[in-house]
Amino acid sequence: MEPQSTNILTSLGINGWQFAAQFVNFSIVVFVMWKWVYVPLLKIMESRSKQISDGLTNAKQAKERLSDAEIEKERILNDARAEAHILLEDIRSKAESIRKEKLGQAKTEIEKHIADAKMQIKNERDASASALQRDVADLVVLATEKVAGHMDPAHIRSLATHAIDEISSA
Amino acid sequence: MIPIAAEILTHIGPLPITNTYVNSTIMTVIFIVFAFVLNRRLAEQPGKLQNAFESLLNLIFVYFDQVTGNRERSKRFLPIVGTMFLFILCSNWFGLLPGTGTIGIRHGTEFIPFLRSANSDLNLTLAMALISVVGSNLLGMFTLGFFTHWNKFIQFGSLWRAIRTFNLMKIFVGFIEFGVGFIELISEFAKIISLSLRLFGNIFAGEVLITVIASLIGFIAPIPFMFLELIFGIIQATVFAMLTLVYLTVMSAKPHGATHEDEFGAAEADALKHHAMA
Repeated sequence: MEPQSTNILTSLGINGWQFAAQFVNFSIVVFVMWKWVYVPLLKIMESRSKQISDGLTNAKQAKERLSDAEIEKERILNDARAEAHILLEDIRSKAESIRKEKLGQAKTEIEKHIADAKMQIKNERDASASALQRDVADLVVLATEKVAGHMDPAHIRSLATHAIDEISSA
Repeated sequence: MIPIAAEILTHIGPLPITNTYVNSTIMTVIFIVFAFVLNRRLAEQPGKLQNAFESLLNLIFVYFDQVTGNRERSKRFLPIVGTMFLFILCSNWFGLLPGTGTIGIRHGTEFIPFLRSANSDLNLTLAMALISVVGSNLLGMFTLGFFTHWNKFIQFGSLWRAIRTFNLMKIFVGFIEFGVGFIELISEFAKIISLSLRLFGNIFAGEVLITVIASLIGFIAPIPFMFLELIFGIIQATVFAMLTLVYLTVMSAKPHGATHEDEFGAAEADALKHHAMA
């Protein structure tokens, strides 16, 4: 039985040494490809794939952050606008009150000036009236002197003064 | 006529140097040089060579994933299965180059070519088939544990559990499963024979066909057959690699409710579907 099976193997070209040699050849190829090609290459491919994945995740996160920042920017701008509006209103109201205050002060000042002016005019008028009275008295005295001739000037003055008082009281 | 056994060119000690061995050694050297050059040029930003090989790997992974159903497992099996595919493919195509089978020496009336397609030697195909089947069983043992793995073949555990139930039907099923386990064990040897003979037979037949056609009409007539051999080279490499992948996947899968042969049948059917598509 054994010689027959050996004959079959021999006729098919099976040889122990040849088989071992071919086995070693193929094992060397598997080992070399595993060691030098597949392991480092798969590592690089995985690393690259991870980088791409991380990049995409980062890009997504950046997009989300950008969107959040846009929303935050809008919120801050709206707050700033509202605050500016409040400030503007406040300033307007303050300006209005200052304007009113200043206007009041100006009015008071003007009224005071007017009162002063009126007082001054009155005084001047009174002074003018007094001066006019004196001038009229002098004129009357002078005229009376001319008319009365040599009358006592003091007497004439008292007459004139009396006459002026009567005119004034009239 | 081409003999089934590879022709011996010379001897180195007890080792007969055959023309197929020369071919496989040349392929081995080519692979070593390729691996060395690629390893030196590996970078995050790939060059042309790395880019081409990465594209090939990505293409291979598409088919691997359909069998393993898992990229991690595909990566785990890649060194053996990927190398088998590439080595068989390149060896088959290398055997079509001018000079293979035509340049040689004459011993009397016998012509001995220096080069002959590496896979037309049963020693190489048997070595690869042995690596495939033994490797898948070793993987099964390391992945599932010694007893879980071998319980697929020698089902003493299942039989004992069935006997302890004192249920006749279960004991009967237990004996049937015990017998099926032995058939599975025999099928492991059958796998080695079928893998090696399939590849050897196809490549050897191709060699014979081209030689016969070339001896009848030297020019032009062999060209269509050489194109056919290019296709057969891819098909045979794919069949061998995919079946090895199926064996590795099945052996490393935990036995669930489904029987082992169902699992194997589904996986092999998947692989054969891909071959048909290829």
